[in-house]
Amino acid sequence: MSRLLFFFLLLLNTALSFAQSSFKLKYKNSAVYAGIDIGSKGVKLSVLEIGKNQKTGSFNVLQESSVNTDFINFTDPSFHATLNGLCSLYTVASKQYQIPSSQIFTVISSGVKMQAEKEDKKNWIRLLIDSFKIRIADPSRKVEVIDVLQEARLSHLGIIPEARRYNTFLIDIGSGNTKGGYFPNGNTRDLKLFQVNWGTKTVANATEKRMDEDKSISNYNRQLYRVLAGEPNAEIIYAVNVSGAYNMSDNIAVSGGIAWSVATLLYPELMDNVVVPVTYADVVKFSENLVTHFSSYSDTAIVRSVGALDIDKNLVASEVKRVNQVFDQKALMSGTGLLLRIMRQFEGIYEKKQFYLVKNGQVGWISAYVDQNIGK
Amino acid sequence: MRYKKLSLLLVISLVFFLVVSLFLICTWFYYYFYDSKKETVQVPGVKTSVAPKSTEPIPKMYTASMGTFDSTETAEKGDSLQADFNSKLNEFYKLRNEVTSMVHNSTGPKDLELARQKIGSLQEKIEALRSRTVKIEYENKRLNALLLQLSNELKGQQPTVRHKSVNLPRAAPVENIPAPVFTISDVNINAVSDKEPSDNDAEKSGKIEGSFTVRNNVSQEHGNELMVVVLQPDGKLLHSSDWESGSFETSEGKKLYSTRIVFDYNKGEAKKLSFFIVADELSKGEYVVQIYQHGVLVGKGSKTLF
Repeated sequence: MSRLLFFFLLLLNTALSFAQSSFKLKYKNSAVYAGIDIGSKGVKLSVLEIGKNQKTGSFNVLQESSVNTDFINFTDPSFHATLNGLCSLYTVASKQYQIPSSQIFTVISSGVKMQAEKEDKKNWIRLLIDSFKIRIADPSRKVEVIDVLQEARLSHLGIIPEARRYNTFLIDIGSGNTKGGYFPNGNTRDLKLFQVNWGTKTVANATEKRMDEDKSISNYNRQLYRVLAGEPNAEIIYAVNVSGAYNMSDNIAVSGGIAWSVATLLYPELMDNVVVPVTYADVVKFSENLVTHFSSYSDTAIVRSVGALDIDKNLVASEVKRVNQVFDQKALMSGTGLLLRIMRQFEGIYEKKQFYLVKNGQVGWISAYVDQNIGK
Repeated sequence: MRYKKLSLLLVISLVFFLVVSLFLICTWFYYYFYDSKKETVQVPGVKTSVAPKSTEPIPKMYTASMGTFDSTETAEKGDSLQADFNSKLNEFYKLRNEVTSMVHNSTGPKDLELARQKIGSLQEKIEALRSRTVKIEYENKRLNALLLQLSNELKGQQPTVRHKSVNLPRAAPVENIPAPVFTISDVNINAVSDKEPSDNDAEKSGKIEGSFTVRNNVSQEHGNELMVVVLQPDGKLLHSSDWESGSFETSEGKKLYSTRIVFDYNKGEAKKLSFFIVADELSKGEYVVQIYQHGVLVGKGSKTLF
């Protein structure tokens, strides 16, 4: 395990040494910060450019690196892997990128906190923080543990620009659940939380269970419809109604892996945009095409479709390939199906909401955390 | 007595006539069925040409000649030149009957020689008919291939159109997009600064402000949508943030827009609309503004910054 980690770090070092010199800053007057978050699956480093004159929500992700450590297993190997990963990424940020210690932020995510509380393993978190401080020889280092509400609030602050802050409902579709919220009272203290216990993976798993022997796409589509029409639909309707978001929001922003995938496949011409506007009809059409014309979402087909536009075709091809590696046809179908069920709750006959798909949602909350803690 | 003789003669003549008629009818029936039987049994629709040698016995020669000709097949395939074909076929049948009669009723070498000549002529006619058939078949094949090619081309175009619509950022295919209803006038753009008067100085300015007037006498609708495209001097799109911009479909393919204006409209009203685009920095040169409705360019303007 430690050997593997050593090799990984060696590779990471090499890659980062190369990447450091090739950072392309977006803003005229900006500074580079690093956020390291310890999540359920692993440790992630986000190197961010935040413009000094920019409003919150305007950040530029320069680099992302992660190590899978499965800290929430709460075993010795997972503990040591997490600690090693955390220390290594911290060293990379401070030594390789030469980011001052005061501009490196370390946080433990709500997923870890929830699981530790559930299993009564909060001491593992304390032990991790103390071990980290000793390793980096910085006893005053702040490592905050945040809860679900804080994370949702930070995500909103990090992703949604200030101009749209109080009329935008942010929904993050994860693999295991869907969560989000909005600010109903014109301040960023009060967040109305929204949560549904269905994510892309849970929907896909439930669909697979219903498949029996017929593994065809048409059968998958049929069973997916049945799954979505059942419990997820009831939960979504209830959660949206309880949140009161329909009346309070003009914009519905959806983040998460499926939002990134749909945005990339549907709008390859907007590859450089971190957020893309979308309509309900577009996603319905996309969902239908996933079943009937899936080949039109291959990298070659998509590059052909944007042929006339002045965009980086190699970037388009590699990003589409990445989407197809992360989500296969069935995973895309289940994720899009869940996305549509949520969107449908906001698709009124008379009042139309503007939907957005957010591509960089995964760095949203850590960016906001960094942004809020600058200068503290 | 005289009448008796006459009656007897009449009866005999009648009987003779009947016997001869009966004989002739029987002969005709015999040859008719014999012939048909020979054709069906001995001629199994041979396709390859079997040219009988002149030294071959005449019945064999005849059978071989008949064997190379499949009348049903030819008649069916030659439908495009039916009239001409029928006339040739009639000639053929006539000649065949003559030959048949000569072959089976031949009494001497002269008849046989004549029959041989007629069979030669029959073979020529068969060859002519066959070559006609081949021509017709070739023509049919050519026309079928042409038809297939045209239908394939048509099919080939349909998926392309469908494929394009699959990847459209907006759901409506190009052909279903309604025509624009607004006329645009007074397109005006300026580079401005929040801090000081910039007088279209690129260095001092931080944003582009624009306005234009829309009018239509056709319809009164809510939620009208116009796409504003602002192109920088280098031809690249200028936009404030990713939240403002997007893409739309035109007859020339997808285009990116800088900002989108959604507005309500009362029929006949001259409505002034405005927009602004904040930029990190503006470069010197000509800025072009294009206004689109339903993917169609409805207004245009430009401004040069110094």
